[in-house]
Amino acid sequence: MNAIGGGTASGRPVKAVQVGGPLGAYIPPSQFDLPFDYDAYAAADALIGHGGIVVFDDSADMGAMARFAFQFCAAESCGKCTPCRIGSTRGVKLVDRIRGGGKPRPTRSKRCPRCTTPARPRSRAEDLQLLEDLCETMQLGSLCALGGFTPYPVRSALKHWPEDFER
Amino acid sequence: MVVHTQTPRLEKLRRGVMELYISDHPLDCLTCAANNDCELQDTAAEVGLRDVRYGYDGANHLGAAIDTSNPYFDFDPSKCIACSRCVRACDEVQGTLALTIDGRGFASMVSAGQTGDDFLSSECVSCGACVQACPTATLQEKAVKEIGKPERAVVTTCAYCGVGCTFRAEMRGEQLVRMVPWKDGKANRGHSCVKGRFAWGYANHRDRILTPMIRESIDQPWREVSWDEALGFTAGRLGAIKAQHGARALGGITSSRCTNEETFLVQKLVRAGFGSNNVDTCARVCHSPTGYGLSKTFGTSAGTQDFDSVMHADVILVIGANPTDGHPVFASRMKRRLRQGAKLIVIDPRRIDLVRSPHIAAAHHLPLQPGTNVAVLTAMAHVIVTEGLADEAFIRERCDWDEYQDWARFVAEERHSPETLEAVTRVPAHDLREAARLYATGGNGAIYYGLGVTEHSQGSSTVMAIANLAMATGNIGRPGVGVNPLRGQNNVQGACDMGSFPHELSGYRHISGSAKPARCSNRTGASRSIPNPACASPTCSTPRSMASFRAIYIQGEDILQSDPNTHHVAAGLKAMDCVIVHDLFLNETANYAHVFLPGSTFLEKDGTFTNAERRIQLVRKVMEPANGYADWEVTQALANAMGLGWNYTHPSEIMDEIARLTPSFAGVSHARLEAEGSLQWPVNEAHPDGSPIMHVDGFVRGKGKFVVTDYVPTDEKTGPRFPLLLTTGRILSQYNVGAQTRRTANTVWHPEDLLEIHPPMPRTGASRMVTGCA
Repeated sequence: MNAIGGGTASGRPVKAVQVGGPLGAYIPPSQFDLPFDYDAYAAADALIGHGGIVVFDDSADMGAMARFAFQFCAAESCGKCTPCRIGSTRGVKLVDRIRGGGKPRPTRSKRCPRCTTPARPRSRAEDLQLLEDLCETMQLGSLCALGGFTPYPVRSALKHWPEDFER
Repeated sequence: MVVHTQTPRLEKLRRGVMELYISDHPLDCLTCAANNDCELQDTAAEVGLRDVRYGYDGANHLGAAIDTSNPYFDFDPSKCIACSRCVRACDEVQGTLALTIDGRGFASMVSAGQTGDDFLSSECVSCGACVQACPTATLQEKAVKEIGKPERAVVTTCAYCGVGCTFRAEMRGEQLVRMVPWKDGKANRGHSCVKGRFAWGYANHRDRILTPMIRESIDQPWREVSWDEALGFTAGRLGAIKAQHGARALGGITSSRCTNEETFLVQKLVRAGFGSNNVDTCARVCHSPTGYGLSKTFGTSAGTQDFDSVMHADVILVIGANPTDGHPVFASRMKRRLRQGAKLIVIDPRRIDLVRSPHIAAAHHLPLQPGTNVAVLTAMAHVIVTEGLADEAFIRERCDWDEYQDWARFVAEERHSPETLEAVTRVPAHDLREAARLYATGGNGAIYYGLGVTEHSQGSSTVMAIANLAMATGNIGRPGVGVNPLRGQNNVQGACDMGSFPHELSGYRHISGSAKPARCSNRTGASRSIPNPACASPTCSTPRSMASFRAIYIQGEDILQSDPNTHHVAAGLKAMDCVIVHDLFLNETANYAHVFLPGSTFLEKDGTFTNAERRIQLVRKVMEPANGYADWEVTQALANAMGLGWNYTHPSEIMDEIARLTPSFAGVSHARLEAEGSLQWPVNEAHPDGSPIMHVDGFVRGKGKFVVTDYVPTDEKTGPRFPLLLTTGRILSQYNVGAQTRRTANTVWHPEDLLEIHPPMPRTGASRMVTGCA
């Protein structure tokens, strides 16, 4: 990164690189020794994608980048499958909620007793679990790679920079 | 390979997807019309969704406006889960391609037609396939919203067109909530059209007459009376007329909308009670040429195929029919086959929808001059014979070779070439030649025709010309081929089968024939002392012969509206001493009636209808007759008032009698129909399980008969007094004279009949053509 690319444009230290496009995983400097091949990347929960590399300096907010992944997916979604169509929109909101500290939800008067239990405030741990569940639903349930790959940037950001999700 | 459909991982995934669905769905299950009839609700319960952790304050569609424009169903986008089932139903089942998913991503939404269209203004034909496919209450029948969830269902047969769709009549108590096409129905295969699916409201319309009425003469007001009084009055009048004028002064018209059993009883009443053969039916003005023409050439008065056959056709020739309007459920199957690649030839003066519609384009449209059917078909035969395209092996094996040679010589004459006949038919010779070549050489060729063939002068000749084409090209006797009349009314095939013609008993046995006379006279009471059967239908009677009628019993047909030459029919009716109208509504014919007997709807009776593919299907009573009696009971009561002593307790007993008397119905019984769903006649020793396709190993008559069909120009020509050439056509939302559909919300699509005039109609010179609806 530093030898060939000359470091970041701002001159600040590298915080992360995203490999493979907007839906590629974020890779921290600790993994920069990862060989650039499909198997190694797959083993590290990352992907080569279109092979492009985007470098982020240490001013990057990785929580915001996770949010952007959902936003990108929502903007590009064709709407055919539910995990991508609804999941991407819900993901944006969920990241906001996690970063905002888990605000209690407003309750709604009309609800079906067969379908849901009454709303209650969620703990941060519960919301992080929901985020992981959403990633799993989108990864396994989406019809194409748009919804299926959105979890890469989200999960990697959360895994390597959990502090960026606390605000 | 082992496929696991239930694993913890899959269960979690399903729950995750369901959680997303419900995060954008109104939680009004308890007040929703689909409560307890909702696949989304069921699936949420199945996957064990207990919590929607996303909350409900995110982006959603809950405020989307409900489209209530369709008179029969609402579209509530807030409940849509964008599953696209409705879109696929419209594309693949109905073939109209009216629906789409508008927008994309989270904004994806089902939309009818272009942006800004609602369901009513869109291309939607209101067939109901989308409503049926919808897993939620997004597309929901208004009746379910108003009445509630049905609690029981009775499978019965539609009383509109000759397709014979079977439906589940879904009831709540004694109230009909909705008609849902029955997936196991062999005629409709789970599909429906706007009429059968939605337009049943006439059954409870306030115009229905529920009490018998009589009057001494037609200038007096009607007097409501008891059934006993009405029947006594009628029997007395009929008896007096018979005593004074003889049996030949009495006649009856059977109804193609009533059941086989009811039709059989009416013709039996005429023959055994009135003592004449003066019985007729609406087929006199529609498909009797089919009966005659196919009987003469093939040996059976009915179409040769089942509807499934169309899925094996390679070339489909439609002549004088507009299936998308007249027989929409069958048309959807035909369109599906066309989308699979079958070629289409349309012979019709109008550019009907089939000629060009989404994903459908006719290979050839031959816009002939009305009245020149025989000329066009003979010209096609000319091409087939002179270009050596005839199937000689088939003809030698299956047909009378000498007759074929006579016919081939006839059609090969230069005066029958497309080039010569172009002056008459106005069909470009080149197009006609190409169409003939395609039909003869394109693989399985199937001909479908309608009233544009039969409701014309030379109707029988046209039917025989069609049969000639099919025989000459070997397109008979297997799936995918054949000659197929698209019969108009629900039971017009059955009415003809049941002996509704003066000269024929049930099963088309000629009254003067040698076929088991003892059985005929004993059971049906056909009076064999009448050598020359008269014709009861006013249409085929000259005013002079009409005047010899003094009494007529008309069940379920408004002859004053439906028969040609209204003035003639009115004059004939006016001259009678006793006109008995047995109908749901006080129709136009009733203006000339002395007795009005209230009729019952198809929902109020048991019996059978026979559709255009000879399929006999059960009609089941789903509610008690509002008028007190099913039509067969009324006819029986009238017969008994005349002293005939009938004692049928159920229509199944009438069918048993029909089966005993009619060779082609020998194996038919209500019990078998109950067990097997439907049977296609002939059902007898030779064909114990019925006959989906006829003439498989040989023609019923033995050798197929080629009949020389000489074109005779119609004398219906334009001139100073009659400057316009008019023809009739079909309207999807309306049916026949409109007695039923005009009393439903279908009027929103077609509030009044219009004359359609071809835009570049010349002001001078050639005849002008205008079309209207029938």
